[in-house]
Amino acid sequence: MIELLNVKKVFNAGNPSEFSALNSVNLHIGENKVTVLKGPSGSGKTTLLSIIGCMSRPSAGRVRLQGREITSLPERFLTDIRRKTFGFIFQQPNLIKGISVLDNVMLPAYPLGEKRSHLKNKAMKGLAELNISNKAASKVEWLSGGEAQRASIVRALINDPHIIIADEPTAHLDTKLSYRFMEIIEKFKAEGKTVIITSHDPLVYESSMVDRVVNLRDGQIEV
Amino acid sequence: MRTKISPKIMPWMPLLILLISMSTSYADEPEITIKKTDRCPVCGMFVYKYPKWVAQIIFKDGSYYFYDGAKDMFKHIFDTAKYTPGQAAANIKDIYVTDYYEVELVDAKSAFFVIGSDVLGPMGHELLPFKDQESAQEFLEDHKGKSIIRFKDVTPAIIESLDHRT
Amino acid sequence: MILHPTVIANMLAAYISSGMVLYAVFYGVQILRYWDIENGHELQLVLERKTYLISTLLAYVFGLQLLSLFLYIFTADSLTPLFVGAMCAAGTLNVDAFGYPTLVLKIFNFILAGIWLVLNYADNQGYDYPLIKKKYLLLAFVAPFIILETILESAYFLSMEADVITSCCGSLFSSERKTGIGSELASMPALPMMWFFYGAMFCTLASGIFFYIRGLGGYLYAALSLLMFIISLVSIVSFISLYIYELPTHHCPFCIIMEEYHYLGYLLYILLFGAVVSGIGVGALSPYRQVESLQSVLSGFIRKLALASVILYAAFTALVTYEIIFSSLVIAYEVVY
Repeated sequence: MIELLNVKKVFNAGNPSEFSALNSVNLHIGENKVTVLKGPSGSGKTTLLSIIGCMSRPSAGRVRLQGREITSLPERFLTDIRRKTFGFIFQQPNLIKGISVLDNVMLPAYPLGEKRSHLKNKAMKGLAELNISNKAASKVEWLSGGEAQRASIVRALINDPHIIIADEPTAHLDTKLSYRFMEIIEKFKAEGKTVIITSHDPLVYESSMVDRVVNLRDGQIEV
Repeated sequence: MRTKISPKIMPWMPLLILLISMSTSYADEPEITIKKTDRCPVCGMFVYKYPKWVAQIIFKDGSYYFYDGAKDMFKHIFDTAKYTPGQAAANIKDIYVTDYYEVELVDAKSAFFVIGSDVLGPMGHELLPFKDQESAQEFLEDHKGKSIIRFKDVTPAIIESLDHRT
Repeated sequence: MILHPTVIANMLAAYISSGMVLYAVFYGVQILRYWDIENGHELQLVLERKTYLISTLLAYVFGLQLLSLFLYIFTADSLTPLFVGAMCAAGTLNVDAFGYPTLVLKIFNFILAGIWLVLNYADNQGYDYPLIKKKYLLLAFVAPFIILETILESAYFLSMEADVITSCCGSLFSSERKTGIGSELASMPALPMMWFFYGAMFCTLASGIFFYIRGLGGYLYAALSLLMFIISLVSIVSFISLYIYELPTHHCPFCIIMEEYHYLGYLLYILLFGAVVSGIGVGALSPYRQVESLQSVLSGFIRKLALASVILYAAFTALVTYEIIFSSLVIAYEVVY
């Protein structure tokens, strides 16, 4: 489903502060599987995740998404794929202050030009599924940590993406909320989605629904 | 030819004479204003930009043309049908040029033209018009003019020589 | 050199363009040699990133190139008060030997720049840079002409001297002169030329509309476009100018840009140049209609180009016809100036 071939990522190439974040990574991510990228901080997890999610380009190597080569795509095509294929869940909820939860959730769908009423229904349904529909009109500053995380999950799902990418999703959640989060991930899997998570939380990578754990160290996959 | 004046029109004669004299004196007046759209028929330049160099020809049928220098005016005279099809030099009534010092229109037929001087008009080397011999002579000495000629002395060859001087 | 603001603007534009073009050619050569979309080597990825920047830069440079033609004519027109004997751009361009050659080269480069922009736009529609090599090949072809144009333009402005008496357009474009293309164009008989112009325009428009509806004959239309462009330029000198000026002997193609003629010349030339570039663009892009990544968009774009070209030519003809009908000039058959 997602193939990485000889991916390298180097920052500040040519300078004395040159840093190689990823060295010759070859990886195959299975369809409808939950894959966890595990490793100490600085091992290149987030870099790898952002390359998989079309958010940055490698310095060398190719990435194939469902057979289609994406690293050479011009920017406008890449944004299109990113918007439609991926849903991103970050460490911090990263909700935009000053606008309501509902507006935040609908935001990634605006460039697709869907009819607003249609979009609103979708958003409300998503919020209902995660039990925060009563907070739809609230300002994001008033949400608790768990509610904010759930709002960001609804946002990630608004374009009905096939692949969910989560970067350290349980970093700021307590145990109960972390379990709740993993239940949501199980639901995604049941719906046919592919999930890729980076984490160094044992609660995540030792969970029973995880199909594969990839160990990263110093920019390379440990076999 | 003897004309018999009918007694019937006698009372109208004074009025007639008044009208005729008025119309002729109006045509004599060389102060027709130059419109912004008036162009020299020879080169197409807008004449209002060069008020010091204006020349004018009025035809018998009342039509008139302005030029951006005496040289172009002469070009029109020498080949009237080319620049104004249907018009002929024989139909010319009045010709005026602008005296270079006084900057006012004077009758071209009585003017004195200095050629070969170092003063350039909008069309390059020009015939500089003056209303009398003395001012023409003064100009010739000040500006290295070659000769003073009268209206009847101007020929197409002279015009061509002015054009080809560098 | 005359430090008129327009002259400085021209020189600045020319040098910036040339500099950017040289920079782009350097990378263009690399792309032509090493580009291989299949492999994932570091150089390839670097080139992929670089081409994004360079294409954008070049799009602006060639856009500037399109404007610089009109700026050049505007400059020549603005400088006329400085030169004795000049009353429009025609005289200013004649003050030294480089004025007209620069103009001809600028017209040539305008068309090439327009073709490059069309090619670039099409290339950007495909997800795998389908026309990238053709694009940079065209750039390599255009670059020396742009550099040459900058050199000639510099020579023109630098050798300008204020105490030169230049020819007035009345004599440059008059049929009396024995030599010079100006007089040859001016001596083309007006009325026969007019019928030829309308006939050729009819054929060109018909071909364009046929292509727009049926999708056949793109190359024919491109060729006719170019031919019509040349015929139109000749026509402007031969008879269109006469009607605009309402003077039977004034053939100058530059006086029509003046304020007194309501800057009509700029409009006529913009329509004409726009029409020829989009028309030739049809021919330039037609070979690539079968390219996989462009399949869905290219045919539609080519048809739009053809339509644009037809509309611009039609507008040009309408404007010319309006001027002829409402002019107080009447050209009789016997008059041949």
